[in-house]
Amino acid sequence: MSPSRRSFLWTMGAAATAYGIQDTTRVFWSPEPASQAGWTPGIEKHLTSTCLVCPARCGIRGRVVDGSLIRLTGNSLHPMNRGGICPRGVAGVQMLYHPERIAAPLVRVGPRGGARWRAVSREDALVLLLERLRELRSAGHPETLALLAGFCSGTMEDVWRQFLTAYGSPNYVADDYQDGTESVMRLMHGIDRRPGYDLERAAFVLSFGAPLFESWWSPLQAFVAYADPDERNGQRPRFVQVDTRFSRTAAQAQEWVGIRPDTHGVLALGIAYVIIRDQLYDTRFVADHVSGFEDSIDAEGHLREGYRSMVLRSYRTEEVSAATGVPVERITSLARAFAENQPAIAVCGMDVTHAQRGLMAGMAVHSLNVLMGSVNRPGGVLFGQDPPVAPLVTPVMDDTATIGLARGPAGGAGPQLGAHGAANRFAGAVVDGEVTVDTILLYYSNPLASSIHPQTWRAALARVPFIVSFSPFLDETTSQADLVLPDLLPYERWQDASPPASYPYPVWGLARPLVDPGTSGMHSGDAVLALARQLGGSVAESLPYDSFETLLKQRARGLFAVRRGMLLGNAFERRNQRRMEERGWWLAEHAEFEPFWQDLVERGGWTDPFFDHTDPARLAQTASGRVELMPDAFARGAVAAGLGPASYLALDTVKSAASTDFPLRLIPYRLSTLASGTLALERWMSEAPSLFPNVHWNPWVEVHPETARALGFHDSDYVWVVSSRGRIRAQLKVFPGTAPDNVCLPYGLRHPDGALANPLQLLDGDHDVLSGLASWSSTFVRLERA
Amino acid sequence: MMSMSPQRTVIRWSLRSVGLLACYGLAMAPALGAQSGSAIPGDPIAGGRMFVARQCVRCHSIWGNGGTLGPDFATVGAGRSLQQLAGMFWNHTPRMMETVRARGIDWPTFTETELADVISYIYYVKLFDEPGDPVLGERWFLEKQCMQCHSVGGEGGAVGPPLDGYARYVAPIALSQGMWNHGPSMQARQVADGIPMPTFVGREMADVQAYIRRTSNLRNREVVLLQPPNPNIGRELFSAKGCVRCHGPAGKGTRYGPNLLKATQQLKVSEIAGQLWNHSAKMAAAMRDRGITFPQFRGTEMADVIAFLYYLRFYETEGDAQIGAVLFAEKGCANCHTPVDGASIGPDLSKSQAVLTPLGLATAMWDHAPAMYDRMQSAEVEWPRFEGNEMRDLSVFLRSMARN
Repeated sequence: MSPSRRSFLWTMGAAATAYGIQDTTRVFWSPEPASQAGWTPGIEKHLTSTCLVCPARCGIRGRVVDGSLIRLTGNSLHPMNRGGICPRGVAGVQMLYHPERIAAPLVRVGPRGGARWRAVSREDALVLLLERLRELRSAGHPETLALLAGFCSGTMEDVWRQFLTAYGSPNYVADDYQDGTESVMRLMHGIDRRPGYDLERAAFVLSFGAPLFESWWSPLQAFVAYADPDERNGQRPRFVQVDTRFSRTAAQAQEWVGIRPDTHGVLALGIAYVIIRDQLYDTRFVADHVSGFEDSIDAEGHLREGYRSMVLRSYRTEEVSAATGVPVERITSLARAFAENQPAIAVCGMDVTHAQRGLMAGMAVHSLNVLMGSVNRPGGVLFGQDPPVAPLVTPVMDDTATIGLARGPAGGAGPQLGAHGAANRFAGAVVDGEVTVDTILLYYSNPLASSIHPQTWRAALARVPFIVSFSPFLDETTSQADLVLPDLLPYERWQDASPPASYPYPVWGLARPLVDPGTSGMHSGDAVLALARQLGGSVAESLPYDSFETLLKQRARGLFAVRRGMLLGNAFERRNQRRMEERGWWLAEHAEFEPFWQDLVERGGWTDPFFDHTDPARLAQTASGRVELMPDAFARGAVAAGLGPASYLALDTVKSAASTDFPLRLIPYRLSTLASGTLALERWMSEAPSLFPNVHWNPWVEVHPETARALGFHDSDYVWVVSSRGRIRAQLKVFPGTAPDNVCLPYGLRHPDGALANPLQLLDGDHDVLSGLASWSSTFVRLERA
Repeated sequence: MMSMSPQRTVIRWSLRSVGLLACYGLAMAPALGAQSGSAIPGDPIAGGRMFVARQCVRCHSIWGNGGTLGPDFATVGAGRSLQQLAGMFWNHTPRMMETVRARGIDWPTFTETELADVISYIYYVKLFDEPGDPVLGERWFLEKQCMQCHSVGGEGGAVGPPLDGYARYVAPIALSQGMWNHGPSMQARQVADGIPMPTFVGREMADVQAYIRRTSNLRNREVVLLQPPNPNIGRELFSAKGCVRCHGPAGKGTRYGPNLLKATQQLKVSEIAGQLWNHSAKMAAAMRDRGITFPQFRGTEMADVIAFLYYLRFYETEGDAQIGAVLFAEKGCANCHTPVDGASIGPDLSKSQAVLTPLGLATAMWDHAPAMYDRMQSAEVEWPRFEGNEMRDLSVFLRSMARN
């Protein structure tokens, strides 16, 4: 029915009247001028900084309006993340304004863990700690002070270590991320440093269980190489993911190779078999730079089998296929692709090294890089260098400090070939009464939530009279503290932050306050400097810095004086700088330090895109000066550990320990959104999709469809995942990307009621006796209906 | 705390993008900033900024870094003088015009100084060697019998010092300078031992340096990166070291030494250094005869002198006016600027101030290129091209016409 002229006019008139009324309301509304009400229009700023949420240390930019942080994005000038940012980085805004943030320093009232606190001033809190520290030194027992440090690097780590050294405590206890690859490098290259991977100049990336695009050292580094490489004329590397499950990284890669757990090293040696058999390896590199490839006669006249013989004898593709589940044809094609697409990199992930024979497996994976000469060359494995910042002053130690340090670290030095598991050894030593700890400082460590052995930690903490936490949130361990000195949030404080070793080029990222820190907390760095100052004497002399900010500025003088590198810049600038330095020339962009510093702050840091591939010290620092494929130290360590003269991995490494009670192998894995499990307060991150866009909020367990069917479970059922050590509740997710005899649980999730669901606390306690790293995939479980 | 403004970003970026030019900025920018009073027109620092700010980088690259639509300025036009480069720019105007219009980019215009800066920058970047080839370097090291006297990586003779220490340098200029400084004694020893005097051509010196770096036993190297050479300092050194006594004030030669202009065409630092070495025995003998002390170089002095020599050919003001007159007619310039009949379309160049300097002419041609292009398109006139020294000769002719 078409409208009549009358109805049309009536409608238009009504509409005009309505609009007029609305407009009239708007026009005639006459509040007092905003400025008279104490409000002025927003002032917007964009400031660069560095993300401190995870070890990747990406460059960020904060949009700040009226002094409030509104949004976080990536700093496009940062060479590693180049404007990219992960969900955790974005969510930093929520963390900053988290309602559960501790508002002031707290002193415990009543029994420990009773959740009763008394707020005190920062000055009073410092005095409480100061008096305790003075008492310990006066009593001649500075070693009874311990620091439990979560991921801590750069100047903050240097300051803590300097403080403890000058104070007299040998107990800097690292409770941080470990993947054991530095042990591999120490054995094979004599270089005690995790390897860097020149991903964006590589043609082929063969990842053995490394979660490159989710929870690796720096997912953004991998994403940049995948999507926007600076070099190779924009040609992207080909990514192949060897993984026990169809992970997010496997989904992102061009190819996924499913593999049985704990057999990554065997597969690597099967690939090596094809490369050697078909003479595809870099013969010149092996001849010039590698030891242990050929058989040799040792000093006692015994024949020592070399890598070549060992591989050709023991790792034929048929047997490797049977052990790993990877078809022979796939092994052969992988080997050829790896050898023919140079430069290629084999990346060793945590799945490889967190196993009973993890160190051996790590060596096996890295031996592929050695075979192809993919070390210390563009597109290969590179040993980076730390940014050349000015050092701290030399620590001064009085007699008290000397005596305290001589008493050695609690828990001992650890396994011969890998100093891992220090935190757990420390806790064990405290529980066993081997050492006395009077005061423990918790710095970004929450072992009651993240440790494999929370019970041990609970017992250990019960034996420590004074617990001090620097956490800005009341996490599980902080809840047990006697004193809480909440740190500022990353967007309120000065800090330096270099990317992890996986990024091989030196970067000195600078985090600086994006917003006014207010009065709720205190920069832990400033707190340490203040404590040192007030302790006086040699401790004060060892840390003679007014503030953390001035200390960072002092350190930047090293960058100003080094005559190489550049302040962070865009792609054109980075490439131009690299080409200049590759030609041997360098420019001074600033003649004076002050403008240099201002520009550094503005741009977010310093970097050097040039890498000297010709320095032999960056290839090997072993006694022989060569890369060791069959290191003597490893053989000695294996004998000492009761493994016999082990030569890499026995093919029967994977002995299934499945039983009727526990028929399924547990595979814990890290999520990109909650990589550490220590930041449990990031609850909103549960909304972020991982591999499954429809799974949120609840911890889940991935089960193969056939397995679920056989057990009578359906998708979304709640189940208990039960091991011999305990159980956790999770929602079942039917997923064909999980092998039928495995179940996979993400690490770091909680239930909506806050209950922890940490699969590591189900592990059976097996570990690699050589490296000390816990085995993540040797535990078997069953599923029960919850 | 301040946020970084876009404008400042561009400036920073520009500065960085021409990183190699900073030495000028620190030491000699004022001297290079203007043509008058300086041997070298144009400030390469400013030229680098301009290169980015005027969006040249969107289409052109330096060392493969930048746009790919146009040629890489570090590789094309090697050894070309300012006027030859200006001619090259002109020749590519039609294609550039179509491209910038298709992409919605404004035609970049320059003042005389700005164009000098940009061309100086483009000229300067070619001075720098690409890293040498260590495999070739090993070959040269053996073939030239360096190994008979010197060792690298523990292998070689012990007559001369080991060369491992040079591995801390990336650029070959330090090696070249070391060779130069020890030239007389090395050459005396070579003569005594019957070892032929090695000569270096092309990139051989850079290759040898790359070989030394690859083979050296020097561990934990603190790489030494050098400040880019400064031709104006080089000019002063050329005089202070006594080079002028044989080669004349502008390197144009005297009866004792040749004109260096020709010897430094299309050459990079290591290539010019090789040339110096090849002639060093002869020079040393000539100096001895004349009682001149053989000059020694320190730091980046040799690189500065080489930069000065490299720039000798940059700014040519001489040419052949008669050829220029023929070109003026043959290229069709006269049809618009001084027509035999009909109204003049373009300005009368005999009265133009723009043609009084080569840079003025180049700038006028560039800035008016869009108008000329459109006019020629509508008249279906082919775009004239200037090859070799044609732009130089045309400039001389126009200058003479304007003066008359």
